[in-house]
Amino acid sequence: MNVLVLDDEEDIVDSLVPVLNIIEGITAYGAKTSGRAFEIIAEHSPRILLLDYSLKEISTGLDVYIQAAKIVPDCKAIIVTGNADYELKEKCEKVGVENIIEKPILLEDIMKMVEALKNQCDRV
Amino acid sequence: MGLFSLSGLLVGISCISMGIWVYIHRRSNPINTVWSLFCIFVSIWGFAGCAIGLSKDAASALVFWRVAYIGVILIPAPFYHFVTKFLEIKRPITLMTSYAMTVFFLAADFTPLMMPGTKWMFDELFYVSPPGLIYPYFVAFFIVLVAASHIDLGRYLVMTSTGRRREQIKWFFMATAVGFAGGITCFLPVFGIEIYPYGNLTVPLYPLIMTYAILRHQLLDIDVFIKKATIFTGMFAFSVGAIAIMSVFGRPIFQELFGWGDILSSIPSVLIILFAFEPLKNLLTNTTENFLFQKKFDYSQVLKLFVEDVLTVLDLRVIIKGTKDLIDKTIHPASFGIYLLDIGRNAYINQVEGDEKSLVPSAVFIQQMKERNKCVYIDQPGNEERVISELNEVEAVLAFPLESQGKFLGFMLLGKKKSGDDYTKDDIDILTDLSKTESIAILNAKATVELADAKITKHLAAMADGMSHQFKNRFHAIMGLLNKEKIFMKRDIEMMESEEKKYDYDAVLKRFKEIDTAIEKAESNCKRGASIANALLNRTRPDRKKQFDMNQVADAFGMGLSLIGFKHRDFNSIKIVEHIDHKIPKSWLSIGALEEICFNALDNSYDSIQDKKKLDPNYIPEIECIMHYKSESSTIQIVIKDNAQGIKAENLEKTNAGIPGFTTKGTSSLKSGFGAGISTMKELIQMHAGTYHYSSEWGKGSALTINIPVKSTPERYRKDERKGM
Repeated sequence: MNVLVLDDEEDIVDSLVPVLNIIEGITAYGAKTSGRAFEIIAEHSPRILLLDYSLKEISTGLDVYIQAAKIVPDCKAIIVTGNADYELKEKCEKVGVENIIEKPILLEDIMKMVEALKNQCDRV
Repeated sequence: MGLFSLSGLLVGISCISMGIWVYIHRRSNPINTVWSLFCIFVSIWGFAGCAIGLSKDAASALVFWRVAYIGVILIPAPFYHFVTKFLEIKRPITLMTSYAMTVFFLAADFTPLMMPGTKWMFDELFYVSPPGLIYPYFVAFFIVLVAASHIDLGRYLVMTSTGRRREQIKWFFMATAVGFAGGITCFLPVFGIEIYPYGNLTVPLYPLIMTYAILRHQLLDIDVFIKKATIFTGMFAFSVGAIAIMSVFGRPIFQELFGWGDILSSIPSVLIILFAFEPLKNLLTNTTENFLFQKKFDYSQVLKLFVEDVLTVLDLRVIIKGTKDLIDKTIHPASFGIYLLDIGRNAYINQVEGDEKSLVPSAVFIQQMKERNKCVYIDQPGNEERVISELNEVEAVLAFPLESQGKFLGFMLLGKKKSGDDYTKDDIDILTDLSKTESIAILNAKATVELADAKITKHLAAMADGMSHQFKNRFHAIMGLLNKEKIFMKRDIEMMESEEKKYDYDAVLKRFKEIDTAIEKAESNCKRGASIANALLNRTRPDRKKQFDMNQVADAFGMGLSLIGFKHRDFNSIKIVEHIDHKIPKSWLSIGALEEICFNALDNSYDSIQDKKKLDPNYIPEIECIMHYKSESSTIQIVIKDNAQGIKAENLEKTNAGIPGFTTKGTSSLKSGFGAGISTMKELIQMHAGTYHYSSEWGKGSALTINIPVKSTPERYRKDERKGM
């Protein structure tokens, strides 16, 4: 199952992608911009999207998910943010985001979430 | 006309004038009414006394004596009544008794029990003598009430140590003591002590002294028509006095020398009045203007000017200093303070520089001012001891509330006048007006500060939000880097410990290299976190903009650029084109100020970009920064230009003038700005002896060009060098 990691911080992408690749049956792809993310979506149709909300551009991680869902309808997203407030929570729930996690977070915890989502997708 | 008649006439005229004057102005005040009645009664004595002196026979003289005594009998009780009211003493029984006795003596006045007959005395008039049976009792009644009144006045005079009240009591005591001491001599001949009642001549002095006290010390509640009344009284007294004097002294001379009759002998007095009338009128007008109204005129003018000025000032320090200077120039108090509430310290703090007194809000006089919204003065009747001690503690005699729009902001305290004079009613009226204007000005200034604070808070909140994101990103990255290594390390350890796997040198080397890279990255993230913290710290230090040092101007743009990213997270989506010459010579400049300038310029561009985005969805924003050294003019030129909405032509002039309060944002943006950006930027550029210029084409963008001269020495040292040369 393909997983997309989108974060404008290079260090985060470089850490998270190899760790996710440890999980059996997961192939993770990293992107630092929304443009690169859409290329990966178009090419690999990832079912799980791990998206940073605040990007150094106009689009947010949530905007990327909304567009990605049009291309890969059954994809599931986790939004990573530094400020998980009620307003964002509402926005995410409205468009069907699976989970919101607040930075900083251990990669081990992200791995568990991704693994759980993979199992969920597998069951479907 | 004999001396007794003349003195009687003067008493009558002066007292009736004063009585009418006091009654007309503020008849609603009972104290004034009582005083008017008292004056009218004295005038009855005066006029009837004049008639006694002119009486040709004993019978008609006796009639006039009895008329005169209507006035005399009516003097002591109203006088005592007035004193008790004036001193705010309550003695209803004594008062009622004295009025009852007055009625009794009045009833006896037209009987032989009071005055049985008259006797020719002093070769001038028929004087009442011998006394009737109850006459001595009346004299005793008269003396006791007058003496009791003066004892009360004296007692209050001792008790009231300072202030206007003391002056009022002092002058009142003096006036009536002079009047009564003279008047009492009229009783002596009745008892066969044939001393001419010269004292009656001093009776007209008391209305004169009282007039002075009323005008100078607001003895009674009179503040209008003083000038006209003084002139009228003066002219009237002069005319009558001239006729009387000429009748007494001039007429016999003219009759003897020229054999003139009564009508002809009066001509010189008429001529004197005719020729002296106009000059005297002018003299009295000028005297009242200069002596009595001078201060009021000056104060009004000064206050008017101050009121016009102070409401345009929005800086609290300037308002406080201006007010202090005004008060020092006009009132000359020994101390002056404007106390405003400091919520944090829960105290009223004096805002006047160099005097940091404070007062607790629970002070009684503060509470009184809050409740009544009126001034409190130290010698106010009925003041609590605590109020007096509180005011004494801060060396104040007067306190004025500063209240506007129902908000009690604080108060103004004034000490004694350096001259030793007391505060007059005019002073208090003028200071009350001043405190009202002052309150509005303070409220405006505070609102401006609050608005600026709110803007700064909003700005800092936006910055803090951006920085919080950055910090979390750093920690997230560090945690990710370390966590990744931990996960892989764990896997490696497990593999190495397993029996199947053997020691693999290359694999271990690879791991070490990966760990080394991760540590380096973590270190780098820590450094970035620290630099973010420093940026925030620097930005909140106000003195930083004034710290000059040898700096590279190019650094300022980089710092401004990184700061703007904290304020607007999506700023990185804007294309930034940098043409920065990093070989620009170092110059004596404030890096903090230049960073602020770049930050403001980028912030303005950002706002303008947002506007254009709304109008054109396909618009690609771009900001270009050019920095280079112009050797021909030894200046550094900074150009920050954008392709955004720009500034409307009609607003360019104001933008370039850097008018405080003017904002480009209201014209080009849907947002509204406070306008501090451009004026602040102008100030910071001028600090570097530089210039700036905005050029713009509406819809196409704008460019800010800044020229800063390169200096190897700060301006203040350069000046010293020139002086040395």
